[in-house]
Amino acid sequence: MSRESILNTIKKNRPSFKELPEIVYKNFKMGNDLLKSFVENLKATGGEVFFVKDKNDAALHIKDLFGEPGNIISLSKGINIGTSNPAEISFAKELDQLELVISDAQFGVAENGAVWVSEKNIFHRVIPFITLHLVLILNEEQIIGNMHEAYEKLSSFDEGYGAFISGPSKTADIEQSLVIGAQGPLSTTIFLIKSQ
Amino acid sequence: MIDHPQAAEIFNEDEERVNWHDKSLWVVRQKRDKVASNVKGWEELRELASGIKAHTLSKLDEYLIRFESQAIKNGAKVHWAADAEEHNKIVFKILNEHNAKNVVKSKSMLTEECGLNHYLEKKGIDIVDTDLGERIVQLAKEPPSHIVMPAIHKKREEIDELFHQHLNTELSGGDEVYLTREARKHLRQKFLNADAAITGVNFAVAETGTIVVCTNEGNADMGVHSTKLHIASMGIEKIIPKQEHLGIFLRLLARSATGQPITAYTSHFRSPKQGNEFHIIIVDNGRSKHLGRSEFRSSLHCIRCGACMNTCPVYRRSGGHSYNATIPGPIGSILSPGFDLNKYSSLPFASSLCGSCTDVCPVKIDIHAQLYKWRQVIKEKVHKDRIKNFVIFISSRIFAHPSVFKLSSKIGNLSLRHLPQTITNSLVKGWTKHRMLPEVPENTFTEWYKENRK
Repeated sequence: MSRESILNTIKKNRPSFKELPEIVYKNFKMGNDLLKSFVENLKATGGEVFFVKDKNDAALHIKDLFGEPGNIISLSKGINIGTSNPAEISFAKELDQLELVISDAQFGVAENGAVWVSEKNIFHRVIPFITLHLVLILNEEQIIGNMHEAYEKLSSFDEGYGAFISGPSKTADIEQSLVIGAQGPLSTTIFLIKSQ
Repeated sequence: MIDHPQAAEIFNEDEERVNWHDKSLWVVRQKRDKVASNVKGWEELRELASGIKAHTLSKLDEYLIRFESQAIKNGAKVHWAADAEEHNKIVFKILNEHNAKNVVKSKSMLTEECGLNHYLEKKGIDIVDTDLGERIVQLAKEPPSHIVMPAIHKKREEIDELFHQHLNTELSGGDEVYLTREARKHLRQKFLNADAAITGVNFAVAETGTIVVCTNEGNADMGVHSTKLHIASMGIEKIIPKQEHLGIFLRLLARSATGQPITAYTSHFRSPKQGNEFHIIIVDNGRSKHLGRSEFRSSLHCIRCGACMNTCPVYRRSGGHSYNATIPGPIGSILSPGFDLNKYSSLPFASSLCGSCTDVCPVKIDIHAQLYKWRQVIKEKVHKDRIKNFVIFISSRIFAHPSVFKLSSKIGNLSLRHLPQTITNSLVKGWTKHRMLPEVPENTFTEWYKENRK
């Protein structure tokens, strides 16, 4: 069995024990204006961000931005503009014409403009990737500073799948020229619901 | 096989292309500097990343076992491969059991190292690289020339022609938006008709059994979530102990690689979707042996960001293909000799030892020091460069005898001053290709000293 021989060679060749370094997270603590950093960093990724009063307000903005596309999935409670029911879909192929997806996100990270979504938000894992346009909604107080704080929040994460999404899909594989919209969405828009 | 200097010489025949290549990569290096300088505690992050990796290597077998048991608990199937051949066989066996003929693959330098595409193609499987840069080099039947930007050596006009030939696109003069959209349509069909998806692994978390995959294009997720079968291949060194350590490494990875604060997608795969299968192949292929080389083992810290390539004056001016190794550039030049000392014996010499690679490495591998150490090993074991050895032998004799040294320095001085340049240059052939020999004073230093310091 290769397993045993690999593990035995490692055991034989590994260096003497080295302590795991202690991480002092307060050394990385960011300044106070997390919202500003989040917006700046998100925009730098090619993402869009809007502040809204509530979900009704978000729905109006969505209509302004995207018109009335034919094929929408809304996974966000309170935004009832979906045209397809994800529960009726079993193959990615059926989602090929999906134009707009609206979903809740759990928190956003100021240092890089990423938001966290997991299986419980997105229903089918392929949904936020296969859609042409992606809208993610979260409350502005859900913006945290950096990735250390993000993993602190995720310390009890036990779902099968989750991802940080930072802006739309993109590539610079042709002569380093940035093109927004590679194999995933052509746009990613974040709505931040203002605290009352 | 031609060695690095020969291959670099071919690349350097087109000076304009060399300058263009050099500049493209330098832009990426500058972006890296800009974002890194914005992070509070950047140096501390590097220090921690290096420390976590060193700790992990000191207990690697235990962490692999922990990872395996967690992954199995999560519902994944774990396989172990001693070498490339076993890895490829395992992949084929899994695909075959599922009757999977159409396979989409996201970026994985390990599967490049294993020659997986070639192996599967021979078995009649349609394997498609879905990262745009990788698709470009796959269509061109070339290996990637950079680990993060696989087609960095290709000009837009060449990609235009390639797509025209293979994807029936219009010739566009190399319009990047048009070409990217056409690739998107082409790859979308491949995703939707795929039977299985293969991905690499950026990080494997021992405490949770999670694997993390980073992409900008969303291609890994498009592949995995479109199919019922996910195979992830990882080298044994991808392990990190805890999930919270992802915070350290993810802050460093994309910033070092492309100057982005994070990649567009950072996906955490823990369990397969109900009804799907998730296989993880843990691959050794020489790594456990390399772990035993105390002077070189820290090269296993590498998180494959490519920063050392972007900054390396030799890489930028010789191109990734000149290394003729899966991983080119400075890090490839210290990893490859461990695989095959004879084959890669020219690579540790493909460096000015300026140390810039070490300065930018997010996990603090002392790359330039290891390049230098490999040179000693190669001198000892390969003895390839007879002329260089002969020169060193002669020099050591000259320097050992003052009278011989005086005589030869006089001869050297006179020859340089009086012989025609064509002859003097031919004595140090190669060196003078892009350099002038210095102008020589009338006296040797010893003569000058005698006259002036009596």
